[in-house]
Order: sequence, then structure tokens, then C-alpha cells
Amino acid sequence: MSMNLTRRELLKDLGLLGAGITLAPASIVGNTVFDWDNEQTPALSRPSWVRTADKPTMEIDWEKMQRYSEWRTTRGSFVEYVGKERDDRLTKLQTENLDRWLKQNKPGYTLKDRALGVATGQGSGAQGFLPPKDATTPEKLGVPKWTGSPEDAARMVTAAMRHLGAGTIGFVQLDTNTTEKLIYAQDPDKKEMKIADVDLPSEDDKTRVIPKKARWVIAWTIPMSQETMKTAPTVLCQLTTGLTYTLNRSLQLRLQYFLAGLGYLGLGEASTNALGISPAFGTMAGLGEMSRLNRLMTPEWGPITRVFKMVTDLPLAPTKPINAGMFEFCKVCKKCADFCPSKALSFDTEPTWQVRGPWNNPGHKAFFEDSTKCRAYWRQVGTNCGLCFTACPFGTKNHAFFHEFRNALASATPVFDGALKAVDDWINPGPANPELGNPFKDPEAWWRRTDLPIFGINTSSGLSEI
Amino acid sequence: MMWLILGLIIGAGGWWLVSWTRARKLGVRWYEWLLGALAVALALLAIQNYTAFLREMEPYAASVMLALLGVPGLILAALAVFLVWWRGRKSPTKSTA
Repeated sequence: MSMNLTRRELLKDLGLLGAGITLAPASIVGNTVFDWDNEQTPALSRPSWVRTADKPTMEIDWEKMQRYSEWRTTRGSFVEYVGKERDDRLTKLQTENLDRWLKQNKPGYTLKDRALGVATGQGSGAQGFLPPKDATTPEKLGVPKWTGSPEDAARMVTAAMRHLGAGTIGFVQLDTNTTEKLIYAQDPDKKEMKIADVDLPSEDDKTRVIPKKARWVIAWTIPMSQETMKTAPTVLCQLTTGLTYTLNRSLQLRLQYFLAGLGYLGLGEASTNALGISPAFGTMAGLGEMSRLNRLMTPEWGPITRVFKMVTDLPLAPTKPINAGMFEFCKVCKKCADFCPSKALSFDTEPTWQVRGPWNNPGHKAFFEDSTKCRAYWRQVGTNCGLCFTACPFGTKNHAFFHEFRNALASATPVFDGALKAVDDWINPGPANPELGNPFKDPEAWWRRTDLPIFGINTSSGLSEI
Repeated sequence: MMWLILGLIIGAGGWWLVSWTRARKLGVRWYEWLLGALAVALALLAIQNYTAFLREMEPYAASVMLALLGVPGLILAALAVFLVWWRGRKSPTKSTA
């Protein structure tokens, strides 16, 4: 059968073909041409393949879960878990390695890396639990405090936080039997976190008091630079983490001023990782799913982001958890566990209720990690490593069609997860020389780039471009 | 802009190709058009992934994706051309009529 087209038919077909080619990328990268899920929070624009769900993809046993004390993590109790002798040995090793690599000019550990590392920690706002006392409140202005629906409040806070530097924003309502358990029992400084029937929050030497009326948690991400992260596990890699914490200290203070300016409380993290369990609040707010890293995995940046939270008495419409197929993908992938130099991450195919140590909080079915192994490697390389973040197939910049195709396919069905991981192995094979302290990508090449985006972050990801 | 230009090139190129095959009375079969269309689709995917991975500062991944998508595209295009040529060779009068 030969093709027999009239000129009119040919022109019509070519027109359709052209329209298809033009519209195809828009249908993949945007959520305007077709939207898979119109129940997403109205306040946040997410990739079209992200589906909301009534429950997180990770199972939670709220009855088993208790409020956890942050200082029980290896951040606060490493010496207790490994013993003083080993801790002293690791401290000595850390000092020797950092000193030797500095003098050897080892890429990623040179003087310029160290200098930039220190620099990124400077210039942040004061970080505190209590709202600032000098805020210009409605009371001082002689006007009533802001009022509106929880949906209006959610939209307003999201707009404000995007302007202040947050990546994605979600909201969780505190419930005594469930989500309230994600507020720490004790903060990193061992102060007790009390939730009491009082009108105002307070803080003394032993306690921080959250008024019972403050029933909402704002959870947000600040993305890290994927390109800088690719120099893991060096000092250069670590400084993208440091920069994100520095940026957040300013963001938190500004959010506290904003909420106080509206007439509401903003109770922040008294120090890094304080107040509540960040990945848990991020999961409940739908910012992402839990992952094999036992950390939050986001649709926008994979795990290459940090998560923060604030308690407020401003009523906010809660956002739903999401299912983007990422937790399922983790079951097959295991790439982070393979790349982890200390073998701290789980190689199990299915998550478990069984924790690996007191640094884990029971009550969720997760891929629990041996945090002491992870922390011991940090000490050896003198940084916070990050190789597992770097290895993750979802930690990509998402310009290429393949990423969108992978994300959409993984979200739709887990059947092809193995094949997608195999392709990722071809395109992201990892460091050529994975010896102690050697990076994924060449830090000296990073220093030659002068065209990286501001803060190394693609801030237009998933959102409208001005 | 790149996609608009590529769309125009493909549209004009497709129009020329159809006109040319009809003028030469090559009698291209439907499955040969299908092979050609698949080859063009794979070539477009290869171009998009190659340029985008370069933007992502991943030159190795760019090369791998170019090979993974571009080589099958070239094979399909070559197969389509070969089938037309081979049939024309078997009945030379058709192509010169």
C-alpha cells in the first residue's frame, strides 16, 4: 500500500505535527496543559506527576510513636554510642586529614574551599524559639490582627515565604494523638519542649513552652546546590549545606517578624534541627516522601534540599502528603546505599519497623540507617559527606527530558523502576576514584565555573518564570 | 526558540520529502513513513537530552543519551531509506517512470 496524500491533507498533517512538537515539552514540564491531580494545595505549584494522598507512602504507627529527644541522635550522643576512646581517635584523624589535605592542596580541601566554607556561615539573622520582641505588631499600629480563611492564610504565607527564599512550603495541623508527636520532647540543648494550655510561649533554662493554641506547623524546604553537592564529600560540598542553614536562619527570623506583624506567633528552631523532626513534618506536609536515606526526598530536588519548620497559631489549611513513586523507587534502587562509603544505609528491599539504634525514632516503617557509621565517616573526611545525596537518581537538575520521563513513569507505576535505575547507572556512574575523601566531581572544575546560578540553585524549578 | 526552529525545519523538510518521493514516484510504503517518523522522534529526543544534559553540566551523561537515542534513530532512518532503495532497485522502471 503506497501513501497517497493530497496537498491539503499533507499540510494538515504537518500542521498537527508542528503543534504536537511545540506542545509536547509543555505537557511534560508544566502543569498547565494537563494536570494529573487537581487536589494539590492551591498555594503551591508542583510538578504535574506529583499526586496527593491521604496518607504518606511510608507507614506510620502513631500509637507506637512517642515524642523523641533530638539530643539522642548522633548529633548529640555520638560519644555515648561509640565510646570516648573511639571519639578521641576520630577527632585526631579528622584533624590530621584536614591538615594534610590542606597542605597537599587536595581538590575540595584547599585554602579557598576552607575560606569559602567559613564565609558561608556568616551574616545570618539571630536564631531563636521565641518571636522577636521589637516586631511591629497590629497592636502597636492600633489595628486588629489579620483575619481570613485558613486557605487564604496558606496562600499568603506561601507567597511571603517564596519571596523570603523558601523552595516549597506546606502546612501540618497538630493533633495530640498523631502529628503533635513529631514535636521533640527535648531540644538539642536538652531543654524540655512543653505543650501547655497557656496564652503566651516562654523559655527558661530548662524548658520551652508552646501554647496549646498554636496548632499549625509551617514546613518548608530550601534547596541546596546540586552542582556543589556533586563535589561530595569535600569541604566545598559541605558549604552548600552550611549556606542553606545560614539562609534559613535569616528566613526564620523574617518569618517570625512577618507572623508577628500579622498578629500571630511564630515559634522557631532554637538551634539547627531543633523544635521537631524535619523530614517527618516535610512528609506530612507533602513536601516529599521518605527515602532509603531515611531523609526527605522531594519531587523538585530529590534529597538535595534541607527542611525546616515553625509552629504558629495562625490557622492554616493543611497540605496533603504526596505519592510520586519515590519511596517505591527506593526499594529497587539502593544506589545511595551502594555509594555510601561507610555502608551505613540499609540494603533491605522492604522498609522495617525495627530501628537500628537509639538514634532512630520508632513508630514508622522506614529504611533505618546506622547513624554511628555515617557520623564516623564524616569525622574521617572532616565534612558532612553527602555522597548518598549525590548518588540519588532524583537529585538531578531536571532539564533533560529523560528526568521528566523517569519521574512521570516512576510516579505512574513501579514496574519500570529497575530499568530506570539501570539507565541512571549508565549516565551517573559515580566517582572515578572512590578513595577516602575523593569527590564525585572535580572541585577545581567547580571553581572554574563562573556561570552557576545565584546560591547555585535553580529557583524557577516547578514555578512560573517572571 | 530552538523547538520552534526545529519544528519549522521538520515541517519544511517533511513537505519537501513527500513532494520529492511523489515526484520521483518512489511509492513509499506506510511502514517506511512510520520508520522515518520514529527516526525523527528519536533524533529530537537525542537532541533535547544532549543539549539539556550539557546545560546540567553533565557532559558524560549527554554523550550516553546521545548514543542511546541517536544511534537507534539513525538505524531506523537508514532502514527506511534502505527499504525504499531496495524495492526501487528490484523494479527500476517504477522509479524512472
